[in-house]
Amino acid sequence: MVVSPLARAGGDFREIEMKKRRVVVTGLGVVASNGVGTDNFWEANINGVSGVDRITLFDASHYQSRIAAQIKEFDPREYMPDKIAKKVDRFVQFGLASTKMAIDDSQLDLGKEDREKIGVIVGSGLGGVLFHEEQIMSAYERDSHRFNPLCVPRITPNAVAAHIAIQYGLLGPNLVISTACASGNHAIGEAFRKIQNHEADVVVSGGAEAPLTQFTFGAYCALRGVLSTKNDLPHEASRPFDRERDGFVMGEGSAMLLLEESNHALNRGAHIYAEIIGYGQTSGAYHMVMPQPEGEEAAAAMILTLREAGLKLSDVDYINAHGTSTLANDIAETKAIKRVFGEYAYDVPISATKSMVGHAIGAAGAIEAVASCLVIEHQIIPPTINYEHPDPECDLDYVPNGPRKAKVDIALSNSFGFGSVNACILFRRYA
Amino acid sequence: MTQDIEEIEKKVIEILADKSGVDGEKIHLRSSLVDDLGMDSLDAVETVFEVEERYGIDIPDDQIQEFKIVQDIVNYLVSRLNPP
Repeated sequence: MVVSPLARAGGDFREIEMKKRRVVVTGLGVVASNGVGTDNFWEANINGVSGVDRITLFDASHYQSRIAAQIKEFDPREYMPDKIAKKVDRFVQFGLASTKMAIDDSQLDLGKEDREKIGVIVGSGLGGVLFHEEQIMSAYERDSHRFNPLCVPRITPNAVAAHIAIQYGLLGPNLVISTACASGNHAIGEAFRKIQNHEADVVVSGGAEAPLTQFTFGAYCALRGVLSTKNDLPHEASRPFDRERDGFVMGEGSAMLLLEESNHALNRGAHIYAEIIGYGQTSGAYHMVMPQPEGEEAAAAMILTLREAGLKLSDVDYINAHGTSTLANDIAETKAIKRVFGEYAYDVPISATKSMVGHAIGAAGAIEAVASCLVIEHQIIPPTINYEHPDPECDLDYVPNGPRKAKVDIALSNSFGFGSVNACILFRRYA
Repeated sequence: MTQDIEEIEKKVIEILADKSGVDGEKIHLRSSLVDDLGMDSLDAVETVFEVEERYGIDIPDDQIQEFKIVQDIVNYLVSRLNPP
């Protein structure tokens, strides 16, 4: 049984020193369009394999954009009971799958744990949109007043964290965070804080999103110029920082990281991928869709993150960019990196996971966090693929097209969300 | 139009198998929804929804609590669908 410092002190609350604790990553799980499962995902990443293809989940023929990074070859029944697989929305299926992978990977023995100290904090921008749309269409077509009783439990965004807790009996803090494209990083960051601040010892944290539906996809198309329309060359459509880029490719999927208090991990001999040493979050208070063109808000988030970790700028060995492949983000992010790092911006390697797996909205930050941990684990940086035409406004080192062996002790991962919300996470090789 | 009792039994068992996750072969008319099929109140409501959709009827909320075994649902449908 874990005895709290308060109990050990005989219940005297006056002099308990609550130092911030250290947080490490001990398990990874990922469901991505270029690989289901961490090994497959990593293999695809270092080989520059794109998960983008023509959309088959619904009829996209009338849309300007007809491509996406869809998850293929995914059977939810491998990761949860059949009955649950049938009752939950696709985003929850993804979330439960990546959670099972992360918990198995961590080899955490839940039977020996105080489950009140294990939380679940997951990012999801959209929740159960697929079921939501299907039910509205169905009721309209049937001219009916009667809705499926599963509507509420299946659509609500917090279903993913709730189902994870139910499946594994986890009684700690349970949250779903919805901050669009930054949801995954916010979830991981908040999980980091929970453990730092003694509110949990372990947190299952990440993101899950299944936005490939008739209406939701159409809604993104309606933003005009945000989604890539390179429909004839799906694999090449997501091209962050390239001069020919024309928007992001929508993705789907999930990733989970098992975050653990460092002594807790050491005591059970857990494998440690990385330590989390910084989390910076800002609002640019600027616009629902456009980033600040000069990158001020993004820079502020990065600076806060580095300041928390107490690092020199040149300590950062790798940046996993938000890198969406939109005209606006890639310039703004490049400027932001220059603002923060000055001359060193030209030396630090930067790569964009979205070049291969598209933009999975609320899951993106989590998928990229897994990638960042694997970079530290393997000391190889995956490429930004489809980089063919240098853009004079994006003139940094984006590790184009091929993987690069590199000494990476410190990795910074950026996520900048619609609504001017920014969250960055800093990972360090554990020592 | 009279509804064949066997058809109704078959359909109800099919729906219950889907919602409970229990194999249809193991569901009998005297099976208890809670004890034998492990159904919770949400499963029960889902079952009623499917039945309502299938037969084009509305079942009052307080009727749902009266369904304890499979036979109860069948009997209710028989009386609703074959009025005297």
